[in-house]
Amino acid sequence: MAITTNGHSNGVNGKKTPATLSKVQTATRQSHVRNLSRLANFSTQVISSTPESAEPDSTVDEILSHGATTTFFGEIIALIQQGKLTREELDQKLLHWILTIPGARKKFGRLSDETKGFVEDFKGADLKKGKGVPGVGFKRPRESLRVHRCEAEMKAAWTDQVNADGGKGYPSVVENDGRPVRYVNKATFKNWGETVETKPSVIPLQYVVNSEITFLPKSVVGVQNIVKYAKQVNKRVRVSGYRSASHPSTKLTKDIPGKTSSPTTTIS
Amino acid sequence: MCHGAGLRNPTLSDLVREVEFVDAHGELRTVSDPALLKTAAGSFGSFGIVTAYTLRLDKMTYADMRPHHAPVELAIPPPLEYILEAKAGNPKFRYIKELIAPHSQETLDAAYKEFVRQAENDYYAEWFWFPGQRDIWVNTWNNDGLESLSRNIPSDFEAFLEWLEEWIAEEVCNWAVFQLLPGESQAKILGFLTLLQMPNIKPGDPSRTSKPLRSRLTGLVTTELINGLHFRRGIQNLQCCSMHWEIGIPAQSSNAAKRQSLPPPATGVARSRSKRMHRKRFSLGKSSVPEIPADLPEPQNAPGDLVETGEYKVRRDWSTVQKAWWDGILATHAQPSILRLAQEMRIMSESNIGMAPQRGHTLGNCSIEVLTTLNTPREEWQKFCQKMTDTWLAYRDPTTGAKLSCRPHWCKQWSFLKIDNDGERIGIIEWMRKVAYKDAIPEFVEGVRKIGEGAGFTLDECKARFGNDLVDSLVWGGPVVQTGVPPEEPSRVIINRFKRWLKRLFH
Repeated sequence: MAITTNGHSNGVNGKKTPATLSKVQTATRQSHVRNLSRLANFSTQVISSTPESAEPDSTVDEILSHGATTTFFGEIIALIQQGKLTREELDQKLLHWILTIPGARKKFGRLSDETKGFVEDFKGADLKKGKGVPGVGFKRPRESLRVHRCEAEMKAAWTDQVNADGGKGYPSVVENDGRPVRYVNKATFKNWGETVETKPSVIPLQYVVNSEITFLPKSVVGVQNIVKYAKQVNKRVRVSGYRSASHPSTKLTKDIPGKTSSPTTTIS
Repeated sequence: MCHGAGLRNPTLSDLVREVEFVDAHGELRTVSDPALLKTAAGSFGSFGIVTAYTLRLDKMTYADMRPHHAPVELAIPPPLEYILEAKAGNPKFRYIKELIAPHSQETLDAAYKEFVRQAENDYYAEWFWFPGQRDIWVNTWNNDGLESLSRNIPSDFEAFLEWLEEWIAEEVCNWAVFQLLPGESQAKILGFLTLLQMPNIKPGDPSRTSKPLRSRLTGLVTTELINGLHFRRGIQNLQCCSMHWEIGIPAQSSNAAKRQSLPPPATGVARSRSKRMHRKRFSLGKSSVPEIPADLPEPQNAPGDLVETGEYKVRRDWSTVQKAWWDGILATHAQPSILRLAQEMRIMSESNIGMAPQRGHTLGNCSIEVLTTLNTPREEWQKFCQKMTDTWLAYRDPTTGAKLSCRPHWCKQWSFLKIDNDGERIGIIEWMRKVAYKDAIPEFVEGVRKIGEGAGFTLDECKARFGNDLVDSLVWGGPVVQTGVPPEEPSRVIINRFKRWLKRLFH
């Protein structure tokens, strides 16, 4: 949160809040920091907040969550020391606590209804009596994972591409069913560990505009046609993944050594 | 070429029996020749786009899992050398002295024997240390469980808890206020909560069957082996920074054992690869019998199997593994803000894949990894990684005195590292070309050439179609391009600057 020269504060989303409110937020967060530090030594006073709490209402929530958090960590540490807490009981308490935090509550709201249903069931379950035990049929939600967020972004970019050029900009690059391989323009690839960032290079004046193409094939034939197209336009091809990879094998090269212009196309 | 766990288990690439790929002309090809698979199964996409692997798998067996917490000084005891230094009052090992103070030498010896037993005999072997914690999580097991007692893990409920815990951890890590905490506090909070959530099966736990859901999830578990192969579903989705080294386990050396195990001067043609490699490791040129350093401490009264390497039998030097583990812990103890997730270690087999980091580690491989959250200031993390790299790469073979074979895990962070090579500090890619993969790279290139010969493409066509900076400089002999790291997220930069300002203000 940045403090501007006129005394207003800009929240994460850029909204301005009155100076007095920002002072309250600042003081609250400073006390959060002090108290969470004490948690590291297993003290009981803990407060937390989120970067999304820029609105006036959430400041009140922040202060209210202070009290809930203080009680919560005092309880769990006592139970842990007495050996009375099971893993699932700890998780249930963590869930109750984290949902008192405004920003986390907001992110929870973005989960699918199915996932929220499982979470609500678990939140309300009486674990000691074994009643209302949740989890049967649970499948890991896709939307909370970064890789699936990346896929969603790519799908949205493909939709934009269809709106821009009808999605038929590369007629020779088709899947096994004859449909065009999806592609997006000017996508920047960042790997999972955020240690590699790269962009496809430019195919000058490809059809209408300079293109920096990332293809999203669904079939082996689609991959073959991408490579054939790359050969045709004298490009290189690298495969980009979204999973656990931190090294530069996914990085693209601007130029092939010894040549003046042979940039790279990617497959994603 | 990812690591597995267990002294009998090589990399995933070693299981590959066929590779299907799209070549430089866009044609679909396969490779199944075992000689060529050593190249094809670990190739960085340098000669084509792999569309399918065929793996050869073992018949299903059943893992008897009993993961548990154990005191950090007993699960993997410090090496004898460090214990002696600690008792002598060396301040560098003061932490070890505090930890071992309550224990007798018999207790430490028994703990060491148990560690060696697990490492040498258990089918699967991994250890986790979460920063700031007094216990580590030990997950070693055998695959001799009974099918009749097997249950599917994780159950739906366990999978839900794992997902929920990961979601909570990710939300916590992304909170601005949590990010404002001192790094040491972040590390301790995450470490504390993580260790709590890891199963802890105490000795004497009577259950061998699935328990009613309301009881603690600490029962002994028998499950299909494939369910036991990673300690936790989905944890790979928690974003982190990670560096990982594969260290070849050397042979033990003792005054008596050396005389028995050292080979005579090399003569004649080697009869097998293992013998050739053994002779290569032990031969020192003019004299093949090295002098025994006078100050070399006697090894611990070590158990461990005798391993045949060619004509000789040796024992593995587990003190190297202990040192690698404890050097990581001591470095973190000295700088508690840096490691905020875990230090992990697995013992595994060598690999036969040409460019595998585990290749040539005949007596076994120590896979050791350090992980932290993305909240750790990048520059500090890289310095820590460099420090650990310098430490781990300084280990020497107890018999020959040569540096141990160590190579980084391809898929983790290593590109920014510098390596000390005969007194000169060089970039890691240059080091890989000159030292770590000196023989492997020409073999790899020849392998690609042979694959292309059979399929109708040339090396130049591979370079033109599938290269990038790394592949060009490492494999194709292009100029070395030291790959930089993209800038950190602006919000994290702001938070870290604010923390440094606060620190200056109050100190």
